[in-house]
Amino acid sequence: MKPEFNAQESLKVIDRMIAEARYRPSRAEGTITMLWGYLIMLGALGHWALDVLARWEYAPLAWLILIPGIIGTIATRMKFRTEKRVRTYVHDLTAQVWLAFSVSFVILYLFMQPTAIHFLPVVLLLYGICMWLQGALIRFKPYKYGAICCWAGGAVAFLLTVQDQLLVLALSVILGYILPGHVLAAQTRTEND
Amino acid sequence: MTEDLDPLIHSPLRLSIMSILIGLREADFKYLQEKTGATSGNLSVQIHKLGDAGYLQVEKSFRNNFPLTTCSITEKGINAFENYVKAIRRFIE
Repeated sequence: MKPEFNAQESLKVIDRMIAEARYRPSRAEGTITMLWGYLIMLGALGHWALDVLARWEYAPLAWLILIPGIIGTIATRMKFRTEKRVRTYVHDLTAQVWLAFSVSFVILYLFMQPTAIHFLPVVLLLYGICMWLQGALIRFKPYKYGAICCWAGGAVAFLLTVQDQLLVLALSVILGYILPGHVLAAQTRTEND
Repeated sequence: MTEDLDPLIHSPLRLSIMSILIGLREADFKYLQEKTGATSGNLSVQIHKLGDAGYLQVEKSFRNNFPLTTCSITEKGINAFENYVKAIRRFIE
């Protein structure tokens, strides 16, 4: 005869299974953050160098470097989607946060000239919001520190010329994207090993 | 006593499945098998029972030409799970 499954055991099963199923960031997420971080940094520095040093009138073309990022993100997401075996509410909410950022960015881009003095500071503030929310959702403090760097960069950028704002953007991205991305990648590597 | 507990949930494997899915949007069969440590046959039977009761939504599809079963908890399942947890708490107190 089967032993009775009692209430205490039920609670233990519930606790154990909820802990098993809790959200854990994947290595892909750290990789995507780093990829975007490096590309935005290169775009900002490229734009600055072509504008200030080379005095090329088409300096904003340096941002074309983001195209591999878009392709890389779509490819990584598609791969992740085909391999994905579980979908959490955190995954969905994180995607919604970045979708909201993308919509806001497109509206800003369409209605505010990208060369306008307040364009990059506002973009940095929006980045800050996304990083903060993502850090809160996945309970990863380095993203929140990154958000603070983006907000600080945004505040400073309001006081600078568009060219100097590009340098602030590059620095904010190093502190706000690239470093947290490396920390997340290292953490997920350690957990997986 | 335990007779008051929902018999459909009050079994170790079915309770495990419900506890996993309560915090997730959806999970596939392999994931549930890995987390519960159950055999394919047993897991399949229990998922079927929970699906028939309307506690789970079970979708069958294909991924890379392989059959794929995806499970998610329904509104009815959430209510049943919450009532089960309340009953367990009452029982322990």
